[in-house]
Amino acid sequence: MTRSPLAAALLAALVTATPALAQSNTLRQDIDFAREKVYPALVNIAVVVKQFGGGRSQRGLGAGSGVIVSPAGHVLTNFHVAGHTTRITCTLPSGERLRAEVLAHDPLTDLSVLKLDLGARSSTTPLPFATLGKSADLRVGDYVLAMGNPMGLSSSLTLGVVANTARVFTNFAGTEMEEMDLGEGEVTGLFTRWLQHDALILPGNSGGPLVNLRGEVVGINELGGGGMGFAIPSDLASKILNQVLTLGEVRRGWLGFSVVPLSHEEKLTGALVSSVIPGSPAAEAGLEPGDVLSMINTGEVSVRFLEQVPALYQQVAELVPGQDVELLVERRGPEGWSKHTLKTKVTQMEPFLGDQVEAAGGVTVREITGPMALVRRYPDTKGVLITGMRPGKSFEEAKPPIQSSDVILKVGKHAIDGIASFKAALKAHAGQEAVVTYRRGQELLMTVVDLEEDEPKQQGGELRKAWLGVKTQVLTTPLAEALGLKGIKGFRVTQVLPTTEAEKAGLKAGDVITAVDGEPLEAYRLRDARELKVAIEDLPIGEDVALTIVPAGTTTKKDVQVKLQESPATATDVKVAHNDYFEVAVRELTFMDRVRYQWSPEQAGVLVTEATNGSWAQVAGLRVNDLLVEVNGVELKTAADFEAAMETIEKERPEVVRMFVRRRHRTQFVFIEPEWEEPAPTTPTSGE
Amino acid sequence: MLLRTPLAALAALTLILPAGADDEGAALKALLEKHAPSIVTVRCVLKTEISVMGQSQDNESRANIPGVVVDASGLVMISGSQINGGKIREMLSGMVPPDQELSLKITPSELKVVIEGDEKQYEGFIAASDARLDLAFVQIEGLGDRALTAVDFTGDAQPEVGQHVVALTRLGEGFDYAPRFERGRVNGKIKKPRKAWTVDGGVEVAGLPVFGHDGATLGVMTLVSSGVKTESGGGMFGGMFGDDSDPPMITAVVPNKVVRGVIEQAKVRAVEVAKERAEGAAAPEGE
Repeated sequence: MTRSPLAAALLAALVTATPALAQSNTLRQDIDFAREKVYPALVNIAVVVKQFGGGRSQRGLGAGSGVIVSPAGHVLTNFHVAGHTTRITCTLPSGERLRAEVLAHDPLTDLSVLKLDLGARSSTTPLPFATLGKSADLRVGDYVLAMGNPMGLSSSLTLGVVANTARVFTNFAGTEMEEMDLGEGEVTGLFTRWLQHDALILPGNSGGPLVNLRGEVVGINELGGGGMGFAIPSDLASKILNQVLTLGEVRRGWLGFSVVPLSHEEKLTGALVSSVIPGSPAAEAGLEPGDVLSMINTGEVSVRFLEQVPALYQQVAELVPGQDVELLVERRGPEGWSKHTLKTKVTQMEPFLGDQVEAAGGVTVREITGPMALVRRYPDTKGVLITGMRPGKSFEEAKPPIQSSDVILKVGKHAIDGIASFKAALKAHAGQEAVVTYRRGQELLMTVVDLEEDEPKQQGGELRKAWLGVKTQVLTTPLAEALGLKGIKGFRVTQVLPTTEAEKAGLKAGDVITAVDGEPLEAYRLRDARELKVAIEDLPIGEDVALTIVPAGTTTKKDVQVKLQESPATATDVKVAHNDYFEVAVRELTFMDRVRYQWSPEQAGVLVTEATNGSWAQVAGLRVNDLLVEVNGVELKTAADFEAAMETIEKERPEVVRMFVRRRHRTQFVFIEPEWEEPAPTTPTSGE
Repeated sequence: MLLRTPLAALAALTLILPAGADDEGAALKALLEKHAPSIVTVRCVLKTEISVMGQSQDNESRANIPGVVVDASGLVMISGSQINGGKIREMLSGMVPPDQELSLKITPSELKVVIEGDEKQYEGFIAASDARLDLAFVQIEGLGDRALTAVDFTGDAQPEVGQHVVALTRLGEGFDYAPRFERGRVNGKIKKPRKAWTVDGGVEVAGLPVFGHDGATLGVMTLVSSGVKTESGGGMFGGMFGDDSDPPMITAVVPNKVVRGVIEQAKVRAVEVAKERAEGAAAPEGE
């Protein structure tokens, strides 16, 4: 029954709104369902990254996301999150924090498989884990949820739709696939057709799951920007995970050729071979650029579009190393196309980059792999590649100079075939000069490296000057007038520092100093602020100086004799101490520290001057300028106290080191959890 | 001789000018030859650490700093800012509110000193520094009985506005540390925050002596900070962006009289530090 036009309109709106609301509610329910299935298995990954630069290794902090995919605690994340790390800590949405070890890295897919340390778990509830779905079932337009820790903000969820299920990155001409550099020459993307979606992802989402509305992980988010996100398909991630769980590593077959789509050939099936690596199985089989590859064993090959290239490479990667393989190719000849069956043996794909280490003499070097040798046109994999040198250290000081990218072949008479032999050779020549033979391009060069390392020694500090022991402000003309001191020039004392000669002489805050030894001070503008300091500093320490002052609250001048004392010790004058294991440096307090921070003479502690990035101490939250008062209950008053306390700790190796610090206006505890099984890190000065 | 015509006067002038230029050239040549042995190069590695709110980052870089021998025992004076941040650190600390906990720390290491005509590079250590004059002192080790040629700062000569002055410095390793002079003219005198003279031309290398054309030492070129914080110009970036009329610091010549006392103090301190080093005493390199 319709009662009025308005009622009719409202009724119509209600009717049309009802299905939309129902749909919205359904989506809401689906999101809730998916969230409940995956959210508990989401992990916030905090890492300590080991990076190399300037001839030394340095640690830094990083963060990303991951997802638990098995009840045994296996975690999938990105290689660019977990790679090159020395420590990985995973935090679950429940608040549980667990260490994780790396089971395998796979830079070529930008994936890493981690394993949580469940032994350290205090919770008795079953470990939550998510299920990997089939990314191949995804369709453009499907709803997906990105879960992760954007910008380090834990457990965030965003909603989007799948924009493309087979995204590859190409050059502008669309003729070549673009690989992505993960840094240091590691590339990714060879096997990946990304899931493109528009669920917002930001730095920190890396490694987090992309989830369908059935609550299955269909992708691992890898990169994003400009409203677009890209995830590694779960089907690819599943293969990597299965290999790691069954073989303990990622193992791939390799033949050594590359292809482009057949777009410019009259052939409709197959793939156009664009290059063949000399010495590779493909080359040994007789494969040539220009061949059209139509079958690998019994598997058909079809690459008409760039999007199909990763699938072919994956087809090759799935060949078992060591097994025979047949390649069916068609080759263009003077008589037209002819078919050929080529036979070869599959080899295992090697990682592109070798290990990198910091070695004695202030140098970082990298192991040379087969692929590296090939790309760099080295005759073999002998030697180690120099990746950096510390300024002023042995290798950087070599004469004639050695450079990054040179390949060290011999140290003295020791031939170098890798990192182990390089380290051994350096050890054998420790403290001596060594003749080093190295290759640069095609040249074989020699130089002399002095492997003697100097111990750091005492350096001189700041020269002492005459000092008054007061803080002052310029008595500006308006201020003088306001204080009833019109025409008076000089400095108003703002603070008389405790225990100083000025205090003994009876100087008070509010006094105005108008002359030094009878010499009037011409200070009445802000820019005259240094006049008193300069006048005092130029006088001899220990002598009396006559200050003409106008005592606070008066207008009459009088003379006061003050003995000029030595300026107090500065930060460069006091004892310092450094602990190599915790990578912390401290110094003793100065008089001015106590004044600045208003610490009494009884306040114990040493001031933190260095807490190296990524060190145990820094990761635990110790900061530069913290006043370190106690270490495991031992009060510190001097640098020697610190050294002794840390020596005891290194000997006793407690699980937790408790530091009590004073930070600005409050006190705080810092709990350090070192991993004692690791060897002591290198000191900044002694190389390896 | 009485000049009788304008032509004769002009002819006489043209005769005099080249002779004057030759005299000046000869004087400069003599000055370079006399003082060049005292100008050395301090090679070192500088570790720069910047800390903001307790988080720090560091970087190592090589530096070649010109210095002057101020004592025959091998005491070398250099610019403080170049080796430990000196005035730059002071400026930085003054411009940031204390609660932002920003600090800059520059630590020199691997000190080696290149002396003219000597293939050997001598090791050295920081003997002392003087933030007031932005100077630092490096003591060369391993000289044995060898006495270096030191520049004398005992004279009382002072720069005069308008006077031509000379500073000596050295090129880098690629040019075999060749000595050369730089000329300028005293173009102003400042009274505050301390008495010093500004110089135009190329005389601007801090930590090095400035000479008159007669070879007399007039003082040391160094960084002088105004110590004044203003809205424009006096702040950290005042000299970098926009208003450069009121830079927070300038290079200027401070007179011998001021420098002398610091050199004497540094000599004493160098002996003390050498003794401490020999005894293997105490702490590692200071901050």
